Amino acid sequence: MNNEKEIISKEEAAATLESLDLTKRDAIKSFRVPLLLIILTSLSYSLIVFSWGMTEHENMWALGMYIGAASFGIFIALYLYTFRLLGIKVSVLPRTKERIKSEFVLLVIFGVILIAGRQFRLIGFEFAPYIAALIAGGYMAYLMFKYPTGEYLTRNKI
Amino acid sequence: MTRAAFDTVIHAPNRLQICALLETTKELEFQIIKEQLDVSDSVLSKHLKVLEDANYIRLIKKIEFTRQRTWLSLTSLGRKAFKSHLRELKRIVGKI
Repeated sequence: MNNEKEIISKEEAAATLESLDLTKRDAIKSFRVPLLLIILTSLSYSLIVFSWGMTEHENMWALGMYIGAASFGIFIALYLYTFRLLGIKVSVLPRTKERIKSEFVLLVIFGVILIAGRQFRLIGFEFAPYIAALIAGGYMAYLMFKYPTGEYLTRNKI
Repeated sequence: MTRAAFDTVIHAPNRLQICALLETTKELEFQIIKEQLDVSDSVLSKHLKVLEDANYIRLIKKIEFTRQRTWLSLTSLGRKAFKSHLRELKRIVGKI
């Protein structure tokens, strides 16, 4: 394939798509921030979910929620700063239709986990906040590891 | 062989790879793209100039942390062109 070529075979097109796919995946891999930062961010989010599930008038778990929210904010800021030092600027707000859709789905998923953790405990399932925190933290870590820049790449490979 | 509705600006392998890299994030620094593509400064600059002239990418030079950094991003026109190029490639392969 040269710069001005306008005729392309099926094989060439497939090879180009495959190479683009590989480029993106290699780039995404190299864009990953340190694992420790991913773990700390996920743990602070887990703390928010767990504390929200356990909060009552009679206990101090609301404090856990505030600590979790503050540390989550700090770790996210650190996450973005690390990217900037590496030479990558990540968009915090979604810019494309695909990203708006996927962010909305994630918002619903994390919202359901957060609410379910508390509601199930209130109806008598005591371990619900533990499970909700585990799922939310685990899922958060998975997303940060797999999609560090927040872009959900569609596969071009044939 | 298929005659494709290709945009010759974006069709060159290196320029296609640059667009693919820029699609993964909001902005990337010149150095990162250079490392990912494994090309020299001059080769990359030449390709970037072509893309910039076509208004497919935006180049912003800033002094950060006491050194000059060049940030690159896809414009909405560039994003559209890259997507339609991908669509065309998929059409040739028979995926669409």
